[in-house]
Amino acid sequence: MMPDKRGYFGKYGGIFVPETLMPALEELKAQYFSAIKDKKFNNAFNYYLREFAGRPTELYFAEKFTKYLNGPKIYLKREDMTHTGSHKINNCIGQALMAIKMGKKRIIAETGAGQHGVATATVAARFGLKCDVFMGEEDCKRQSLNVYRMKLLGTNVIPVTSGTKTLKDALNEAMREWVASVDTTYYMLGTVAGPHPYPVMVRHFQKVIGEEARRQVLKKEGKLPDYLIACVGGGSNAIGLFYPFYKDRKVKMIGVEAGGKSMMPCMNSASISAGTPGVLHGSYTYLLQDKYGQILNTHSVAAGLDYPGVGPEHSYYKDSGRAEYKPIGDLDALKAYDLLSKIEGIIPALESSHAVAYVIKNYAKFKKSDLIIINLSGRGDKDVGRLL
Amino acid sequence: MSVDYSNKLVRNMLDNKNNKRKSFIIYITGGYPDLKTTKRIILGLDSTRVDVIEIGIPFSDPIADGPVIQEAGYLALQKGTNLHKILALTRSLKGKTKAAIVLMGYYNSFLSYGISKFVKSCKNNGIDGIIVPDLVPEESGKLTKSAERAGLSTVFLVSPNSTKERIRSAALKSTGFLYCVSIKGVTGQRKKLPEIKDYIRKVRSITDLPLAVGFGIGNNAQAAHFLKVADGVIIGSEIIKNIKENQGKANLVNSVIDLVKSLKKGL
Repeated sequence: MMPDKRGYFGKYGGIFVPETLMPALEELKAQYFSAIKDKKFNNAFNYYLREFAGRPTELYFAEKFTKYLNGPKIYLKREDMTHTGSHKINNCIGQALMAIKMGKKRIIAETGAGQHGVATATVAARFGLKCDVFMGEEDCKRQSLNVYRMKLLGTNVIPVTSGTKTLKDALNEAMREWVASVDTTYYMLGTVAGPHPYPVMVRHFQKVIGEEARRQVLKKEGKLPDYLIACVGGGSNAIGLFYPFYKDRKVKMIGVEAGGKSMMPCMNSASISAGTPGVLHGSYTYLLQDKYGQILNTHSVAAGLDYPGVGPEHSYYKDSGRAEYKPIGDLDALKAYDLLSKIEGIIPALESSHAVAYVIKNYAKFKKSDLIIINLSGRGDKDVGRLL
Repeated sequence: MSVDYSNKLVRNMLDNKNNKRKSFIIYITGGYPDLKTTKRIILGLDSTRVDVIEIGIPFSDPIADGPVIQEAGYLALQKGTNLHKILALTRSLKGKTKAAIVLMGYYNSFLSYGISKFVKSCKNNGIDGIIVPDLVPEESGKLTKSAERAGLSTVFLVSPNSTKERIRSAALKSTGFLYCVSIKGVTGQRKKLPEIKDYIRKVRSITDLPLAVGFGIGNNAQAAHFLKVADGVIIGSEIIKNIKENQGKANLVNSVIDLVKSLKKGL
C-alpha cells in the first residue's frame, strides 16, 4: 500500500504543518524518493544495518513459552538484539544517511522512553552529526538511564517543560525548533507519524523487520504465520513487521495498544481503540481528544507507547479491516514482562511486553495449530531501574 | 478569489491600502486571562482604531507559537475556554466593533467542530475571517470552499522561504490580506530584526493583496521597520505580555490601550 501523492493512506495522512516547513518537506520528499532508487544509498543502508546494527535479527522459536501456554506456536522477532536494544536503530541509520545526503550537519529528534533518542544519539556519534534531543521533563525522570546514555554519546538532551512534559510536548518542541532552524537542521522523526513523507519513509527503513521475518518463517516453518502481533504507540515496529505481509491476506495482524490503567479518558494511550480521527503533528489520524479537539493527556506504564496519536497507515489498516487493534493494560503488560523473563530468559521492553501480554491473555482464542510471530521490538534493560 | 467588499476584513484592509494608510492587526488569546476580560480588551482595542482583531483559539499543542502565547493558551484552556464560548462572545459583539474580527486557531479545533458548521457559526457570530497556522493551501479545500460560499475571509501564511509557486497558491486562496511571517520560527519577540525587503518584494510581484507582516514585532521602532515595506503589521506576544503583567488590575484594559497607542504612534 503506497500513500497517494499527497501522502494519504485512504483518508489518513497528509501534511498539516506551518508553511515554513513546506519547502523542507518538499525537499525531503524529493530526496527520499530519489534515495530509495539509488543503489549506493541502499548499499550503504544495508551495510550499516548489517555491520553496525547487527542485522539480521533472529526469528526465535519461543519453545518454553509455547509449552507454557500450551496453545499456538510462538516465534519472537528479536529486535531486542540490535545495537542500542530496539528496532529504533533501523530508522535512525536510514535517516542519518538522508541527513548526510541532504548536506545537513545537525539533527534534532524527540524521544519518549529514550529509545529513539539513544538510537539518534548513536548514529549522530557514528556519522559525526551534531545532535539535540527533546525529551519531556517527566520522561527524563522516568528514564534517567537513557538520558545518561545520550549524553555519553555526545548528544545534548533538552528537557521539555511545556504542556504535559511528555512525548507529545517533546514533539511539539522539536517541531518548533525545526521551524526555526530548517535550513541547517534535519528532523529525525522516530515513528511512522508526522507529515508526509515521514510515515512512508520511516516505514521504508523499518520494513526490514518484516522482510526478514517473512523469509525466516518460510525457511523454518515452510509456511506463512497465521498472526503477526506487535505493540503500537506511534506504530513503527508494527508497520515494520506488518507491511511486508500486507498482501498476504491470510496473515492476520494485531496491533496492541497501551490500555494503561483503564479505558477512561486520560488513563490510556490507545489512540485507535479509544480515539477519533483528527489532526496532530502533521497528519490526519486517530487521536485521543476531547469533544473540542483538545489533545488529551495519556498514560501508559511504557513511556514509548505514551502518545495520543498513531501513524496514519495504522488508521487506514483499522478502517479497512486489514489489521485489528486491541488494548492491553499496564498490569497485564507487567505480568508478561515478568513471565517472559522467567520462562524464556528474555527481558522484553515494557512496550513489547504489551504484545506478549496479548497472546498470554488470549491464548485460548488461538488454535493450537496457529503460528504466531510477536515482534519483540526492544529489550527491557531500560525498564529495570524503574521497576526496582 | 473574488473580492467581496461586503466583508469587513476585506474592506478595512483594502481601504487602508488604497488610502496609503498602514494597517494594525492585534492578536489576543481568547479566554486569557478570562472571557469577560477578553471582551473588555476587544472593545478597548477597537477604541484605538486598530483595523483587525485576531482572537486566538487556545489549543493543547500549539506548534507555531512561542512561550508567551503558549502559556496564555494553556491558562485559557485551564479556565475552560473553548471555541463555542469564544463564538458566543463574538456574537455578543456583533456589529459593535469597527475592527474586523478574525479567528486564529489550529486546524483540529475547527475540524472537531465540523468545518461547514464552523463556517456557518462564524458567519452568524460576527466573524469576518479565519487564519489557520497549520493549514497549508493544498489541504484547505474544504475550509476555503465553505468560507467563500459564506463570504468569510480566509488568510493564509507565507514564509521567507516560500517558493513563488507556494506564495501564488497561498495568495489565490487568501482574501483580505496575506500573512507574511517575518522569520523562520515561532511567534514571539526576537533580538535581531530580519531584513524583509527582498522577501516582500518577491511576494508583491505575485499578488496585489495587502501584505501584513507578523511574528516578532514588539515595539514602535520594529513596527516602523516592517511598515517601510509592508501594508500592515500583526502584533501578538507583546500584547499578551502586557495583559499578563496587568492581570487582575483595574487598569488592565487602559494599559493595553496605551501599549497599542504607543505601537501605532506616528505610523
